[in-house]
Amino acid sequence: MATSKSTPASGDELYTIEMVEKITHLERERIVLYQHYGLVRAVPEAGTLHFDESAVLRLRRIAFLLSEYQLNEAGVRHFASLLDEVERLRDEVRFLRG
Amino acid sequence: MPAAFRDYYQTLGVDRSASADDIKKAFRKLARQHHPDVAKDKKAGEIKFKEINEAYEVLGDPEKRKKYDELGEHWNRQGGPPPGYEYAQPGANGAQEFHFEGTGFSDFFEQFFGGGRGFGGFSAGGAGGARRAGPRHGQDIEGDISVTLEEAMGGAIREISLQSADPVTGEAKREKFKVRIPKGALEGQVIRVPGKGGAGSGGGEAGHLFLRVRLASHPEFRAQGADLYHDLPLAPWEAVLGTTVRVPGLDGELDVKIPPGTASGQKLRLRGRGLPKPKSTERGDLYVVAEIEVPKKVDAGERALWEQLGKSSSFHPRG
Repeated sequence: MATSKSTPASGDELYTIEMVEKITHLERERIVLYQHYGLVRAVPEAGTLHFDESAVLRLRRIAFLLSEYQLNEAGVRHFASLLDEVERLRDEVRFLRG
Repeated sequence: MPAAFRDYYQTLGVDRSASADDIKKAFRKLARQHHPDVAKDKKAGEIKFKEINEAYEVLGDPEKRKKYDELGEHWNRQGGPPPGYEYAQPGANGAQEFHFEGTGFSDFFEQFFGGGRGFGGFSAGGAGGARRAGPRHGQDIEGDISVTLEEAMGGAIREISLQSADPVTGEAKREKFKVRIPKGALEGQVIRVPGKGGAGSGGGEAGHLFLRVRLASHPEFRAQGADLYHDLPLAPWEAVLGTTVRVPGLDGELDVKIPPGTASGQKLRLRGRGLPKPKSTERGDLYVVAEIEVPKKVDAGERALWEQLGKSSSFHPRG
């Protein structure tokens, strides 16, 4: 059984756009475009764009959809808005039910 | 490999026909009893608290409960798994199979109700083009990780065990790694574990594991972002005349002054008594929500007093 000795992964990492390019295999222009459209949220940090893990996950999903299903930009935007809606409703249900 | 069935009704000690309110009451009662902060045996309390939370995660959600009930009807029948079960298996349709441990949810939950699904495995040559025959990145896996409010308060390290089976050889591999729950982890926050997804092929890199934080239900609080909400039952006279009551807080009990004339649903804010805000020294607020309760039965003496109040009061709620 393998056990990782490295620093534990955590959810509070922030990534520069260069790092996000490497992780998601999306071109910088696309990342900037998706950020501009509001598909992913950037975190302002030290005057430059940074992205959190949620943005990385979303961009990986987008990369998958673009690569495997040749989804166009409108499809990607529609997909992202549905994801947001599902997550928002899920949060609401969890809060209301206590 | 089918996971062992979990009887969530038994875990909460309720009948299968129990109402949503009965389920909530049963959860709160058991959660107060077994909460790791109050249980005599902390380890056993923690295990039990997770089981109760998982049961409530399913039975407290109408959609999940419906799905669970349909599943339960078929579970013990002769002739194999229930309809649709085979498609819910992570290893179905040639996809790589994964099982988690240490996320706070059972394998059974992960398979049917968790976010433990793989997506992707995409061409390594970049997105936007046609499907290529070259290197392919491994599948990304998404799963939920249950985090208690106390863990979100102080941060925690969790050991995760991930078992995967090679889709071609079927060879099982178990890997353990640590995940840090950051202080101020919020509902829905994502923790990425690089390279712990599916294996790549043709020289493509491994996928990633994405764990989404699910704040465990708490018997006293509901979380919204970094703010906490506590429902406080009040007697009608307490709401009218005002009083001071002791309420639970994540870092100890607090005395709260209820002002005279407090209405049901009114929120009283206790600044800075919520969860830590991510990457900040600040904390969210704790909102105490007044819930005015009325006695279901009154004796003759009480009835006379209410009647006297009703006749002499100048208060007319409908104008």
